[in-house]
Amino acid sequence: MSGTVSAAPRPGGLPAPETQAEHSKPEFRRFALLAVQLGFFVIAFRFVDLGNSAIFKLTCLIVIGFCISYWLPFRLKEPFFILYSLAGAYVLLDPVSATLLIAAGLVMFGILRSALAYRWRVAAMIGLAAIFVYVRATHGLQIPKAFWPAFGTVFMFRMIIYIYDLKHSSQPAQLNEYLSYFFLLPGYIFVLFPIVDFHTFRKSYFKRDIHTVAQTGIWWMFRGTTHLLAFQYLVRYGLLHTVGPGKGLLASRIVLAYFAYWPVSGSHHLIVGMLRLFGYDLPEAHRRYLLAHSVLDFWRRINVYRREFYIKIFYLPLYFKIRRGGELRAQLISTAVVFVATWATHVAQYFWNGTPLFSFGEAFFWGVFGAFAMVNVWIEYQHKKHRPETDWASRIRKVAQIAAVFVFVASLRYSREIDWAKLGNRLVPGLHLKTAAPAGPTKE
Amino acid sequence: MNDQIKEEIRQYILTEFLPGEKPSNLRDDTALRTSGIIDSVGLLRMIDYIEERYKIQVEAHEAGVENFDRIEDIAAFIQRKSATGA
Repeated sequence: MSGTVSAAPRPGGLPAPETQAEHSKPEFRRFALLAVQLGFFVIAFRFVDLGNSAIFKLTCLIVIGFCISYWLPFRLKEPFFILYSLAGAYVLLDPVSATLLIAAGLVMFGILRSALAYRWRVAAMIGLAAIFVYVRATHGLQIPKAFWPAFGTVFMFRMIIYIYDLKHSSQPAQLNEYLSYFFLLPGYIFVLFPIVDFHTFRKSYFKRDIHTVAQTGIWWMFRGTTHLLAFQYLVRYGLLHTVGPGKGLLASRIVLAYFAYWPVSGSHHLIVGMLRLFGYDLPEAHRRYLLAHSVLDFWRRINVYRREFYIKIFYLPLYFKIRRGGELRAQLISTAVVFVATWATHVAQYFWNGTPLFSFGEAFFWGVFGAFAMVNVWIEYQHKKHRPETDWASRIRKVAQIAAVFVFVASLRYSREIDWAKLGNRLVPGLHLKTAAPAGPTKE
Repeated sequence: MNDQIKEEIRQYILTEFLPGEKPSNLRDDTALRTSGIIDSVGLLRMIDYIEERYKIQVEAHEAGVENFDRIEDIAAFIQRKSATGA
Protein backbone atom coordinates (compact mmCIF):
# COMPACT_ATOMS: atom_id res chain seq x y z
CA MET A 1 0.00 0.00 0.00
CA SER A 2 1.40 3.38 -0.94
CA GLY A 3 0.68 5.62 1.98
CA THR A 4 4.00 7.34 2.51
CA VAL A 5 3.26 10.62 0.76
CA SER A 6 2.42 13.38 3.22
CA ALA A 7 2.08 16.59 1.21
CA ALA A 8 0.21 19.31 3.09
CA PRO A 9 -3.56 19.08 2.65
CA ARG A 10 -5.39 21.92 0.93
CA PRO A 11 -7.77 24.26 2.80
CA GLY A 12 -10.85 22.44 4.03
CA GLY A 13 -8.84 19.27 4.50
CA LEU A 14 -8.76 18.32 0.80
CA PRO A 15 -5.81 16.04 0.08
CA ALA A 16 -2.91 17.63 -1.81
CA PRO A 17 -2.91 16.84 -5.56
CA GLU A 18 0.48 15.09 -5.25
CA THR A 19 -0.93 12.86 -2.52
CA GLN A 20 -3.98 12.06 -4.63
CA ALA A 21 -1.81 11.30 -7.67
CA GLU A 22 0.39 8.98 -5.59
CA HIS A 23 -2.68 7.14 -4.33
CA SER A 24 -3.92 6.61 -7.89
CA LYS A 25 -0.75 4.94 -9.22
CA PRO A 26 -1.69 1.83 -11.19
CA GLU A 27 -0.23 -1.64 -10.59
CA PHE A 28 -1.13 -4.28 -13.13
CA ARG A 29 -1.34 -7.24 -10.74
CA ARG A 30 -3.60 -5.44 -8.26
CA PHE A 31 -5.75 -4.07 -11.08
CA ALA A 32 -6.19 -7.57 -12.48
CA LEU A 33 -7.31 -8.83 -9.08
CA LEU A 34 -9.94 -6.08 -8.81
CA ALA A 35 -11.08 -6.51 -12.42
CA VAL A 36 -11.57 -10.28 -12.02
CA GLN A 37 -13.75 -9.76 -8.96
CA LEU A 38 -15.80 -7.12 -10.78
CA GLY A 39 -16.16 -9.52 -13.69
CA PHE A 40 -17.92 -11.93 -11.35
CA PHE A 41 -20.44 -9.23 -10.48
CA VAL A 42 -21.19 -8.63 -14.16
CA ILE A 43 -21.72 -12.35 -14.76
CA ALA A 44 -23.82 -12.75 -11.61
CA PHE A 45 -26.04 -9.75 -12.34
CA ARG A 46 -26.59 -11.00 -15.90
CA PHE A 47 -28.32 -14.10 -14.57
CA VAL A 48 -29.62 -13.13 -11.13
CA ASP A 49 -32.73 -11.00 -10.64
CA LEU A 50 -32.06 -8.28 -8.09
CA GLY A 51 -35.41 -6.61 -8.54
CA ASN A 52 -34.11 -3.85 -10.82
CA SER A 53 -33.19 -4.80 -14.38
CA ALA A 54 -31.11 -1.64 -14.76
CA ILE A 55 -28.58 -2.90 -12.17
CA PHE A 56 -26.92 -5.12 -14.77
CA LYS A 57 -26.60 -2.24 -17.22
CA LEU A 58 -25.30 0.03 -14.47
CA THR A 59 -22.74 -2.55 -13.33
CA CYS A 60 -21.45 -2.96 -16.90
CA LEU A 61 -21.03 0.81 -17.12
CA ILE A 62 -19.29 0.96 -13.76
CA VAL A 63 -16.86 -1.84 -14.56
CA ILE A 64 -15.99 -0.45 -18.00
CA GLY A 65 -15.61 3.02 -16.48
CA PHE A 66 -13.36 1.65 -13.73
CA CYS A 67 -11.13 -0.17 -16.23
CA ILE A 68 -10.63 3.04 -18.24
CA SER A 69 -10.39 5.45 -15.32
CA TYR A 70 -7.85 3.26 -13.51
CA TRP A 71 -5.23 3.65 -16.24
CA LEU A 72 -5.74 7.36 -16.88
CA PRO A 73 -3.27 9.91 -15.50
CA PHE A 74 -4.60 11.45 -12.29
CA ARG A 75 -5.39 14.84 -13.86
CA LEU A 76 -7.74 13.15 -16.37
CA LYS A 77 -9.56 10.93 -13.90
CA GLU A 78 -12.09 13.48 -12.66
CA PRO A 79 -12.93 14.94 -16.12
CA PHE A 80 -13.41 11.39 -17.35
CA PHE A 81 -15.63 10.51 -14.38
CA ILE A 82 -17.81 13.59 -15.03
CA LEU A 83 -18.17 13.06 -18.79
CA TYR A 84 -18.73 9.34 -18.39
CA SER A 85 -21.41 9.93 -15.74
CA LEU A 86 -23.19 12.52 -17.89
CA ALA A 87 -23.10 10.21 -20.90
CA GLY A 88 -24.30 7.38 -18.65
CA ALA A 89 -27.54 9.28 -18.07
CA TYR A 90 -28.43 8.56 -21.70
CA VAL A 91 -27.77 4.85 -21.23
CA LEU A 92 -29.74 4.48 -18.00
CA LEU A 93 -32.57 6.94 -18.70
CA ASP A 94 -34.59 7.81 -21.78
CA PRO A 95 -33.03 10.66 -23.84
CA VAL A 96 -35.68 13.22 -22.85
CA SER A 97 -35.32 12.52 -19.12
CA ALA A 98 -31.52 12.53 -19.36
CA THR A 99 -31.48 15.84 -21.23
CA LEU A 100 -33.97 17.43 -18.85
CA LEU A 101 -32.00 16.23 -15.84
CA ILE A 102 -28.73 17.68 -17.10
CA ALA A 103 -30.42 20.90 -18.25
CA ALA A 104 -32.13 21.35 -14.86
CA GLY A 105 -28.78 20.76 -13.16
CA LEU A 106 -27.03 23.36 -15.32
CA VAL A 107 -29.78 25.96 -14.71
CA MET A 108 -29.41 25.42 -10.97
CA PHE A 109 -25.64 25.70 -11.24
CA GLY A 110 -26.06 28.96 -13.16
CA ILE A 111 -28.11 30.36 -10.28
CA LEU A 112 -25.70 29.15 -7.61
CA ARG A 113 -22.64 30.42 -9.52
CA SER A 114 -24.20 33.83 -10.26
CA ALA A 115 -22.96 37.05 -8.69
CA LEU A 116 -26.18 37.48 -6.70
CA ALA A 117 -25.96 37.73 -2.93
CA TYR A 118 -26.24 34.35 -1.19
CA ARG A 119 -29.77 35.01 0.11
CA TRP A 120 -31.00 35.92 -3.39
CA ARG A 121 -29.47 32.80 -4.88
CA VAL A 122 -31.24 30.76 -2.20
CA ALA A 123 -34.50 32.62 -2.91
CA ALA A 124 -34.12 31.89 -6.64
CA MET A 125 -33.51 28.21 -5.88
CA ILE A 126 -36.62 28.07 -3.69
CA GLY A 127 -38.63 29.72 -6.49
CA LEU A 128 -37.30 27.20 -8.99
CA ALA A 129 -38.07 24.32 -6.62
CA ALA A 130 -41.66 25.62 -6.30
CA ILE A 131 -41.99 25.52 -10.09
CA PHE A 132 -40.70 21.93 -10.18
CA VAL A 133 -43.12 20.94 -7.41
CA TYR A 134 -46.02 22.51 -9.29
CA VAL A 135 -45.14 20.76 -12.57
CA ARG A 136 -44.66 17.45 -10.74
CA ALA A 137 -47.97 17.77 -8.88
CA THR A 138 -49.95 18.72 -11.98
CA HIS A 139 -48.15 16.28 -14.33
CA GLY A 140 -47.62 19.26 -16.60
CA LEU A 141 -45.40 19.88 -19.64
CA GLN A 142 -45.62 16.21 -20.71
CA ILE A 143 -42.46 15.38 -18.80
CA PRO A 144 -41.67 11.63 -18.87
CA LYS A 145 -42.58 9.78 -15.69
CA ALA A 146 -39.05 8.42 -15.34
CA PHE A 147 -37.67 11.94 -14.96
CA TRP A 148 -39.19 12.80 -11.57
CA PRO A 149 -37.80 9.98 -9.37
CA ALA A 150 -34.35 10.57 -10.91
CA PHE A 151 -34.70 14.32 -10.39
CA GLY A 152 -35.72 13.83 -6.74
CA THR A 153 -32.90 11.36 -6.14
CA VAL A 154 -30.20 13.48 -7.76
CA PHE A 155 -31.12 16.89 -6.39
CA MET A 156 -33.45 16.83 -3.39
CA PHE A 157 -31.11 16.10 -0.49
CA ARG A 158 -27.76 16.79 -2.07
CA MET A 159 -28.85 20.27 -3.20
CA ILE A 160 -29.71 21.17 0.40
CA ILE A 161 -26.24 20.05 1.50
CA TYR A 162 -24.59 21.83 -1.42
CA ILE A 163 -26.36 25.13 -0.72
CA TYR A 164 -25.55 24.83 2.99
CA ASP A 165 -21.86 24.20 2.27
CA LEU A 166 -21.75 26.99 -0.29
CA LYS A 167 -22.74 29.46 2.42
CA HIS A 168 -19.63 28.61 4.40
CA SER A 169 -17.30 28.13 1.47
CA SER A 170 -14.54 30.63 0.74
CA GLN A 171 -14.76 30.01 -3.01
CA PRO A 172 -17.67 30.19 -5.48
CA ALA A 173 -19.37 27.06 -6.83
CA GLN A 174 -17.05 25.07 -9.14
CA LEU A 175 -18.54 23.30 -12.16
CA ASN A 176 -16.34 20.19 -11.88
CA GLU A 177 -17.18 19.75 -8.19
CA TYR A 178 -20.86 20.33 -8.89
CA LEU A 179 -21.12 17.86 -11.77
CA SER A 180 -19.09 15.13 -10.10
CA TYR A 181 -21.17 15.45 -6.91
CA PHE A 182 -24.65 15.43 -8.45
CA PHE A 183 -24.40 13.35 -11.61
CA LEU A 184 -23.35 10.03 -10.14
CA LEU A 185 -24.10 7.01 -12.30
CA PRO A 186 -26.04 4.97 -9.71
CA GLY A 187 -28.21 8.01 -8.92
CA TYR A 188 -30.11 7.62 -12.17
CA ILE A 189 -31.62 4.26 -11.29
CA PHE A 190 -31.67 3.95 -7.49
CA VAL A 191 -34.40 6.10 -5.99
CA LEU A 192 -33.19 5.09 -2.51
CA PHE A 193 -29.82 6.77 -2.90
CA PRO A 194 -27.55 7.42 0.12
CA ILE A 195 -27.34 11.13 0.99
CA VAL A 196 -23.66 11.62 0.24
CA ASP A 197 -22.18 14.65 2.01
CA PHE A 198 -20.51 17.17 -0.31
CA HIS A 199 -17.45 17.83 1.88
CA THR A 200 -16.96 14.15 2.63
CA PHE A 201 -17.29 13.36 -1.07
CA ARG A 202 -14.69 15.95 -2.12
CA LYS A 203 -12.32 15.24 0.75
CA SER A 204 -12.39 11.50 0.25
CA TYR A 205 -11.21 11.68 -3.38
CA PHE A 206 -8.03 9.56 -3.61
CA LYS A 207 -7.36 10.24 0.04
CA ARG A 208 -6.05 6.67 0.34
CA ASP A 209 -4.54 4.13 -1.99
CA ILE A 210 -7.04 3.22 -4.73
CA HIS A 211 -6.47 -0.53 -4.37
CA THR A 212 -7.42 -0.56 -0.68
CA VAL A 213 -10.40 1.74 -1.27
CA ALA A 214 -11.65 -0.22 -4.28
CA GLN A 215 -11.22 -3.59 -2.55
CA THR A 216 -13.40 -2.44 0.35
CA GLY A 217 -15.85 -1.13 -2.26
CA ILE A 218 -16.05 -4.57 -3.85
CA TRP A 219 -16.69 -6.15 -0.46
CA TRP A 220 -19.53 -3.67 0.13
CA MET A 221 -20.93 -4.40 -3.33
CA PHE A 222 -21.00 -8.06 -2.34
CA ARG A 223 -22.67 -7.21 0.95
CA GLY A 224 -25.28 -5.12 -0.84
CA THR A 225 -25.90 -7.91 -3.32
CA THR A 226 -26.65 -10.36 -0.50
CA HIS A 227 -29.23 -7.94 0.94
CA LEU A 228 -30.92 -7.48 -2.45
CA LEU A 229 -30.86 -11.20 -3.13
CA ALA A 230 -32.33 -12.03 0.27
CA PHE A 231 -35.14 -9.57 -0.38
CA GLN A 232 -35.79 -11.10 -3.80
CA TYR A 233 -35.92 -14.51 -2.12
CA LEU A 234 -38.67 -13.20 0.19
CA VAL A 235 -40.57 -11.77 -2.77
CA ARG A 236 -40.14 -14.80 -5.01
CA TYR A 237 -41.32 -17.25 -2.41
CA GLY A 238 -44.34 -15.13 -1.62
CA LEU A 239 -43.23 -14.39 1.92
CA LEU A 240 -43.35 -10.64 1.48
CA HIS A 241 -46.95 -10.75 0.35
CA THR A 242 -47.78 -11.61 3.92
CA VAL A 243 -46.78 -8.07 4.90
CA GLY A 244 -49.92 -6.13 5.64
CA PRO A 245 -52.79 -6.49 8.02
CA GLY A 246 -54.77 -9.69 8.10
CA LYS A 247 -52.32 -11.83 6.12
CA GLY A 248 -50.32 -14.63 7.70
CA LEU A 249 -49.17 -14.91 11.30
CA LEU A 250 -48.77 -11.57 13.05
CA ALA A 251 -45.26 -12.42 14.26
CA SER A 252 -44.07 -13.33 10.78
CA ARG A 253 -45.67 -10.21 9.31
CA ILE A 254 -43.83 -8.06 11.85
CA VAL A 255 -40.48 -9.74 11.21
CA LEU A 256 -40.92 -9.48 7.44
CA ALA A 257 -41.75 -5.78 7.75
CA TYR A 258 -38.27 -5.35 9.22
CA PHE A 259 -36.59 -7.27 6.40
CA ALA A 260 -38.40 -5.17 3.82
CA TYR A 261 -35.61 -2.69 4.59
CA TRP A 262 -33.06 -4.89 2.80
CA PRO A 263 -33.47 -3.19 -0.60
CA VAL A 264 -32.47 0.09 1.04
CA SER A 265 -29.39 -1.19 2.86
CA GLY A 266 -28.52 -3.43 -0.10
CA SER A 267 -28.66 -0.67 -2.70
CA HIS A 268 -26.73 1.70 -0.42
CA HIS A 269 -23.88 -0.78 0.03
CA LEU A 270 -23.85 -1.44 -3.70
CA ILE A 271 -23.84 2.27 -4.63
CA VAL A 272 -21.13 3.30 -2.16
CA GLY A 273 -19.04 0.30 -3.20
CA MET A 274 -19.32 1.36 -6.85
CA LEU A 275 -18.29 4.95 -6.10
CA ARG A 276 -15.23 3.73 -4.23
CA LEU A 277 -13.96 2.16 -7.46
CA PHE A 278 -13.45 5.71 -8.75
CA GLY A 279 -11.35 6.82 -5.78
CA TYR A 280 -14.07 8.12 -3.44
CA ASP A 281 -13.16 6.74 -0.04
CA LEU A 282 -16.70 7.08 1.30
CA PRO A 283 -17.71 5.63 4.67
CA GLU A 284 -19.96 2.64 5.30
CA ALA A 285 -23.65 3.43 4.75
CA HIS A 286 -25.12 0.96 7.27
CA ARG A 287 -23.37 -0.54 10.27
CA ARG A 288 -24.91 -3.88 11.29
CA TYR A 289 -28.17 -2.33 12.39
CA LEU A 290 -29.56 -5.72 13.45
CA LEU A 291 -27.16 -5.52 16.41
CA ALA A 292 -28.52 -2.21 17.75
CA HIS A 293 -29.03 -2.33 21.52
CA SER A 294 -31.08 0.86 21.96
CA VAL A 295 -33.33 3.05 19.82
CA LEU A 296 -30.61 5.67 19.62
CA ASP A 297 -28.04 3.02 18.74
CA PHE A 298 -30.34 1.83 15.95
CA TRP A 299 -30.60 5.41 14.65
CA ARG A 300 -26.79 5.63 14.67
CA ARG A 301 -26.27 2.39 12.78
CA ILE A 302 -28.96 2.52 10.15
CA ASN A 303 -28.64 4.78 7.11
CA VAL A 304 -25.56 6.57 8.45
CA TYR A 305 -25.51 9.08 5.57
CA ARG A 306 -29.08 10.15 6.14
CA ARG A 307 -28.47 10.57 9.86
CA GLU A 308 -25.40 12.72 9.14
CA PHE A 309 -27.54 14.86 6.83
CA TYR A 310 -30.02 15.64 9.61
CA ILE A 311 -27.23 16.26 12.10
CA LYS A 312 -25.48 18.67 9.75
CA ILE A 313 -28.51 20.58 8.45
CA PHE A 314 -30.83 20.57 11.48
CA TYR A 315 -29.29 19.22 14.68
CA LEU A 316 -25.98 21.07 14.96
CA PRO A 317 -27.16 24.53 13.78
CA LEU A 318 -30.06 24.43 16.24
CA TYR A 319 -28.02 22.95 19.08
CA PHE A 320 -25.29 25.57 18.71
CA LYS A 321 -27.91 28.31 18.69
CA ILE A 322 -29.64 27.24 21.89
CA ARG A 323 -26.92 25.42 23.85
CA ARG A 324 -26.36 28.38 26.23
CA GLY A 325 -29.82 27.64 27.65
CA GLY A 326 -28.74 24.20 28.88
CA GLU A 327 -27.05 21.22 27.26
CA LEU A 328 -29.78 18.63 27.83
CA ARG A 329 -32.58 20.99 26.81
CA ALA A 330 -30.72 21.83 23.59
CA GLN A 331 -30.14 18.14 22.84
CA LEU A 332 -33.79 17.23 23.40
CA ILE A 333 -35.16 20.10 21.30
CA SER A 334 -32.65 19.43 18.49
CA THR A 335 -33.51 15.72 18.53
CA ALA A 336 -37.24 16.51 18.31
CA VAL A 337 -36.64 18.84 15.36
CA VAL A 338 -34.54 16.18 13.62
CA PHE A 339 -37.39 13.67 13.77
CA VAL A 340 -39.94 16.18 12.51
CA ALA A 341 -37.54 16.95 9.64
CA THR A 342 -37.05 13.21 9.05
CA TRP A 343 -40.79 12.72 8.66
CA ALA A 344 -41.17 15.79 6.41
CA THR A 345 -38.29 14.81 4.11
CA HIS A 346 -39.60 11.27 3.77
CA VAL A 347 -42.94 12.70 2.67
CA ALA A 348 -41.14 14.95 0.16
CA GLN A 349 -39.19 11.95 -1.12
CA TYR A 350 -42.43 10.04 -1.72
CA PHE A 351 -43.72 13.05 -3.64
CA TRP A 352 -40.90 12.85 -6.21
CA ASN A 353 -41.17 9.06 -6.41
CA GLY A 354 -44.90 9.26 -7.07
CA THR A 355 -46.03 7.26 -4.03
CA PRO A 356 -48.85 8.41 -1.69
CA LEU A 357 -47.90 11.47 0.31
CA PHE A 358 -49.38 11.80 3.78
CA SER A 359 -50.28 8.82 5.88
CA PHE A 360 -50.98 8.48 9.57
CA GLY A 361 -48.75 5.40 9.63
CA GLU A 362 -45.75 7.43 8.48
CA ALA A 363 -46.34 10.20 11.04
CA PHE A 364 -46.95 7.59 13.77
CA PHE A 365 -43.72 5.76 12.85
CA TRP A 366 -41.51 8.85 13.11
CA GLY A 367 -43.40 10.26 16.08
CA VAL A 368 -42.92 7.11 18.18
CA PHE A 369 -39.34 6.65 16.95
CA GLY A 370 -38.52 10.28 17.84
CA ALA A 371 -40.15 10.02 21.28
CA PHE A 372 -38.11 6.91 22.12
CA ALA A 373 -34.95 8.52 20.79
CA MET A 374 -35.54 11.53 23.07
CA VAL A 375 -35.96 9.24 26.06
CA ASN A 376 -32.68 7.57 25.05
CA VAL A 377 -30.97 10.97 24.81
CA TRP A 378 -32.15 11.76 28.33
CA ILE A 379 -30.96 8.38 29.67
CA GLU A 380 -27.57 8.69 27.98
CA TYR A 381 -27.18 12.20 29.34
CA GLN A 382 -27.63 10.84 32.87
CA HIS A 383 -25.01 8.13 32.24
CA LYS A 384 -22.39 9.95 30.23
CA LYS A 385 -19.50 7.52 30.65
CA HIS A 386 -19.74 4.07 29.17
CA ARG A 387 -17.68 1.43 30.92
CA PRO A 388 -16.78 -1.75 29.07
CA GLU A 389 -19.14 -4.55 30.05
CA THR A 390 -17.32 -7.86 29.94
CA ASP A 391 -19.08 -10.05 32.51
CA TRP A 392 -21.66 -12.64 31.45
CA ALA A 393 -24.60 -10.86 33.06
CA SER A 394 -23.85 -7.75 30.98
CA ARG A 395 -23.54 -9.79 27.81
CA ILE A 396 -26.85 -11.52 28.40
CA ARG A 397 -28.46 -8.15 29.14
CA LYS A 398 -27.08 -6.80 25.87
CA VAL A 399 -28.48 -9.74 23.90
CA ALA A 400 -31.88 -9.10 25.50
CA GLN A 401 -31.62 -5.41 24.59
CA ILE A 402 -30.78 -6.28 20.97
CA ALA A 403 -33.79 -8.61 20.80
CA ALA A 404 -36.03 -5.93 22.33
CA VAL A 405 -34.86 -3.31 19.82
CA PHE A 406 -35.47 -5.76 16.98
CA VAL A 407 -39.04 -6.38 18.14
CA PHE A 408 -39.64 -2.67 18.68
CA VAL A 409 -38.33 -1.59 15.27
CA ALA A 410 -40.04 -4.45 13.45
CA SER A 411 -43.37 -3.62 15.11
CA LEU A 412 -42.95 0.05 14.32
CA ARG A 413 -42.10 -0.68 10.70
CA TYR A 414 -45.12 -2.96 10.50
CA SER A 415 -47.30 -0.11 11.83
CA ARG A 416 -46.49 1.85 8.66
CA GLU A 417 -48.25 -0.82 6.62
CA ILE A 418 -51.50 -0.62 8.59
CA ASP A 419 -54.36 1.27 7.00
CA TRP A 420 -54.94 3.59 9.93
CA ALA A 421 -57.89 5.33 8.29
CA LYS A 422 -59.69 2.02 7.87
CA LEU A 423 -58.91 1.13 11.48
CA GLY A 424 -60.20 4.54 12.65
CA ASN A 425 -63.42 4.14 10.65
CA ARG A 426 -63.96 0.75 12.25
CA LEU A 427 -63.28 1.94 15.81
CA VAL A 428 -65.14 5.28 15.69
CA PRO A 429 -68.67 5.04 14.30
CA GLY A 430 -69.52 7.89 11.97
CA LEU A 431 -65.90 8.63 11.14
CA HIS A 432 -65.35 8.60 7.39
CA LEU A 433 -61.61 8.88 6.89
CA LYS A 434 -60.35 8.35 3.36
CA THR A 435 -58.48 5.07 3.16
CA ALA A 436 -55.35 4.94 1.08
CA ALA A 437 -53.22 2.15 -0.29
CA PRO A 438 -49.90 1.94 1.56
CA ALA A 439 -46.84 3.13 -0.33
CA GLY A 440 -45.35 -0.34 -0.50
CA PRO A 441 -43.22 -2.30 1.94
CA THR A 442 -39.84 -0.84 0.92
CA LYS A 443 -39.28 2.36 2.84
CA GLU A 444 -36.22 4.11 4.24
CA MET B 1 2.32 21.01 17.74
CA ASN B 2 0.12 18.86 15.48
CA ASP B 3 1.47 15.63 17.01
CA GLN B 4 0.85 16.92 20.50
CA ILE B 5 -2.77 17.79 19.66
CA LYS B 6 -3.27 14.36 18.10
CA GLU B 7 -1.99 12.66 21.26
CA GLU B 8 -4.21 14.76 23.50
CA ILE B 9 -7.28 14.04 21.36
CA ARG B 10 -6.40 10.34 21.28
CA GLN B 11 -6.14 10.25 25.06
CA TYR B 12 -9.44 12.09 25.42
CA ILE B 13 -11.25 9.68 23.09
CA LEU B 14 -9.75 6.62 24.76
CA THR B 15 -10.76 7.87 28.19
CA GLU B 16 -14.23 9.08 27.30
CA PHE B 17 -15.43 6.75 24.56
CA LEU B 18 -13.17 3.71 24.44
CA PRO B 19 -12.13 2.84 27.98
CA GLY B 20 -10.00 -0.28 28.08
CA GLU B 21 -9.05 -0.02 24.40
CA LYS B 22 -5.37 -0.22 23.39
CA PRO B 23 -4.06 3.20 22.24
CA SER B 24 -2.44 1.50 19.23
CA ASN B 25 -5.90 0.48 17.97
CA LEU B 26 -6.96 4.11 17.69
CA ARG B 27 -4.99 5.35 14.70
CA ASP B 28 -4.89 8.90 13.34
CA ASP B 29 -7.10 7.85 10.43
CA THR B 30 -9.59 5.70 12.36
CA ALA B 31 -13.10 6.85 11.47
CA LEU B 32 -14.78 8.11 14.63
CA ARG B 33 -18.13 9.54 13.58
CA THR B 34 -18.94 7.37 10.60
CA SER B 35 -17.90 4.19 12.42
CA GLY B 36 -20.09 4.96 15.42
CA ILE B 37 -17.28 5.33 17.99
CA ILE B 38 -18.51 8.89 18.61
CA ASP B 39 -22.18 9.71 18.12
CA SER B 40 -23.78 13.14 17.89
CA VAL B 41 -24.01 13.46 21.67
CA GLY B 42 -20.39 12.38 22.04
CA LEU B 43 -19.42 14.90 19.38
CA LEU B 44 -20.97 17.71 21.41
CA ARG B 45 -19.03 16.61 24.49
CA MET B 46 -15.82 16.49 22.51
CA ILE B 47 -16.47 19.97 21.11
CA ASP B 48 -16.96 21.28 24.66
CA TYR B 49 -13.61 19.75 25.60
CA ILE B 50 -11.84 21.15 22.52
CA GLU B 51 -13.28 24.65 22.99
CA GLU B 52 -12.17 24.70 26.61
CA ARG B 53 -8.78 23.07 26.11
CA TYR B 54 -7.66 24.99 23.01
CA LYS B 55 -9.59 28.21 23.59
CA ILE B 56 -11.27 28.16 20.21
CA GLN B 57 -14.89 28.61 19.19
CA VAL B 58 -16.38 25.85 17.02
CA GLU B 59 -19.24 26.93 14.74
CA ALA B 60 -22.12 24.63 13.81
CA HIS B 61 -21.03 24.30 10.19
CA GLU B 62 -17.53 23.28 11.28
CA ALA B 63 -18.76 20.41 13.46
CA GLY B 64 -19.48 18.02 10.59
CA VAL B 65 -17.68 14.83 9.60
CA GLU B 66 -15.28 16.80 7.40
CA ASN B 67 -13.50 18.07 10.55
CA PHE B 68 -14.50 15.57 13.21
CA ASP B 69 -14.29 12.09 11.73
CA ARG B 70 -10.62 11.33 12.24
CA ILE B 71 -8.01 12.36 14.81
CA GLU B 72 -5.83 13.79 12.02
CA ASP B 73 -8.76 15.92 10.78
CA ILE B 74 -9.58 17.13 14.29
CA ALA B 75 -5.95 18.07 14.96
CA ALA B 76 -5.66 19.88 11.62
CA PHE B 77 -8.90 21.74 12.35
CA ILE B 78 -7.73 22.82 15.80
CA GLN B 79 -4.44 24.00 14.35
CA ARG B 80 -6.21 25.99 11.61
CA LYS B 81 -8.60 27.58 14.08
CA SER B 82 -5.81 28.39 16.53
CA ALA B 83 -3.74 29.95 13.75
CA THR B 84 -6.59 32.24 12.68
CA GLY B 85 -7.31 33.10 16.32
CA ALA B 86 -11.00 32.26 15.92
